[in-house]
Amino acid sequence: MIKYAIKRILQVIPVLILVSFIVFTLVRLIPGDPVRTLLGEDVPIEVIQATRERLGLDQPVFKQYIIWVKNIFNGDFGTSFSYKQPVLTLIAERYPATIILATGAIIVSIIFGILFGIIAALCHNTPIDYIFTTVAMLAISTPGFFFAMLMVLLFAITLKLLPSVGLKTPTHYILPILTLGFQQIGMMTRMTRTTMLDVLNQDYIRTAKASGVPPSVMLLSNALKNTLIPLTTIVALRFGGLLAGAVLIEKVFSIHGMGMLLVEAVSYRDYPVIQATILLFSLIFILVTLVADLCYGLVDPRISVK
Amino acid sequence: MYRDIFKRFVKRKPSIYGGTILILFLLMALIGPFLVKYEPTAQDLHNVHAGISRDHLLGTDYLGRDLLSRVVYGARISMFISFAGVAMGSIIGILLGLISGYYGGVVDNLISRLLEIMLAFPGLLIAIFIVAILGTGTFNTMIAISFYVVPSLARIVRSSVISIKNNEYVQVCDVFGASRFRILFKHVLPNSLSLLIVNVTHSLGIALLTASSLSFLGLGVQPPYAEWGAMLSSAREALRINPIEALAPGVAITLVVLSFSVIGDGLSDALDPRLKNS
Repeated sequence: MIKYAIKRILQVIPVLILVSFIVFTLVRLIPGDPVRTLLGEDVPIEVIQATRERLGLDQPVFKQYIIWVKNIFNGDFGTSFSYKQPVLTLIAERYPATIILATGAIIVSIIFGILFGIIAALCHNTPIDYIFTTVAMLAISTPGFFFAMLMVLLFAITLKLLPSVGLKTPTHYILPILTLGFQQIGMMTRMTRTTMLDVLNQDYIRTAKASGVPPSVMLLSNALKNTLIPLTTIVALRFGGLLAGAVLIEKVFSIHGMGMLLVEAVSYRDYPVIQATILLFSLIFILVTLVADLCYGLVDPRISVK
Repeated sequence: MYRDIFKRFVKRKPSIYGGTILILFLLMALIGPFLVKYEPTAQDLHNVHAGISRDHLLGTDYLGRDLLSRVVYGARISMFISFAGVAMGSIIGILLGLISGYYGGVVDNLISRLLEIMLAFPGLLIAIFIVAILGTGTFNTMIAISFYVVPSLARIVRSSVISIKNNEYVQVCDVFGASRFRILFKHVLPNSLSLLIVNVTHSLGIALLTASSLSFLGLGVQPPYAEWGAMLSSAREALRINPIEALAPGVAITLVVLSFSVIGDGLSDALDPRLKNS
């Protein structure tokens, strides 16, 4: 297991280098001069030259990349063009909201998705199964932002039960987390149902049934355990999708999170912020996938042996 | 053979529903614009946020534009973007998969790593990333969407190339002097066709979802064009006073995406009866 863990952690390094290089080249792909974008059009040529030297833009591209990476390790992500603040400060302000939303949504989706999936699988080909699969399909097909607006319409405007703007009190979190989780519940229900049906068709379940193991014991100790193993990776992979979904949900509920920061940065062409947020998002994906793989190795020893 | 596939496809009831919905929306996109009374961008500032009436069957938006016309024209824009985006992405993905699978070695390694990274990112973030470089607009939205399709198609093609290229009949073609191009397109590609068709159908739904999400965020199709996601974005402000402004385009997106995924599932059953697992 330790050998597997080390190998898996070492594999992350080339991916990180590749991703950071792609994010870095982003700025080189922009049409126009980044210094002019930063300073504006009517600035004397000497100032532009000085800024170019200060930012290291007169160096060869590869050297610039090294400088950029070195600065990141020192916590320097540059200064935002539009906010005139260090990018790190902006991100520190914005990321907690997004992480809370995504984590809340994933917990909601794990609880309800697995529950609904198991119920659907146990009631295979009955009306209950059809209802769950249809609702799951609808949940996946409805755009998250449209569903969010429906929830606002129902719970905030018509019933006046929950607030729908910002994140001031704990009740403000309920609607965004539920809407963000809804789509994931649909996916989790489908995955759990399929995996559970697969497991229920296995020989060892038949053997357990034949040898008189009570159905409840068989379900909890044999079927559920084997269903949950493949689901751990799926949950981790969904986390990325959740972060992307959070971008849309934040806009509907006017939440100032990482997603809105990224969208604003793209609209204002604020490249230091774009670079930093994309890098942070990718870092989170890579780490979550790594953790998922390690968990997977832990619960299923066959993986780490291979 | 095609008749068998069609028979198996229509045997599932959801496929028929999905197919009907999709055909209706396609008709709406093709001939709908000739039937509606108003231009989608024609403003009537004396009549903003109007409710349902005989003049405006779905009411009007914040600039007094007729919502029915906007939904109908939106069908054209939204569906065209997703079809064009998926088409571009499919071509690139298939080519990358063929190259990667056929040549192997360093080329394969490099392409595979790149695809893995692309797959690790959610489609919407990749799309935002592309828009960040290219800027907003209808054409750039298509390009942004096409990136989503590339990795999944490339991987399907790659794995089928690898499994087929060592078959005897492919080697015989090689011995007989058939060009690589001919071998790849005549013998290798058709073998992965059914998987490709299913994947492309599913991608069309996701592409529509991604495109409307981009426009909703203000990063995709720009005003005054009627795109469903952009319409939802402006309807957000009017949710309290005129909810139909959000309901009309939202239901349209949901129905089209739903029909694509249902048809995709139906096709996957119909094209490959052996793969009947879910």
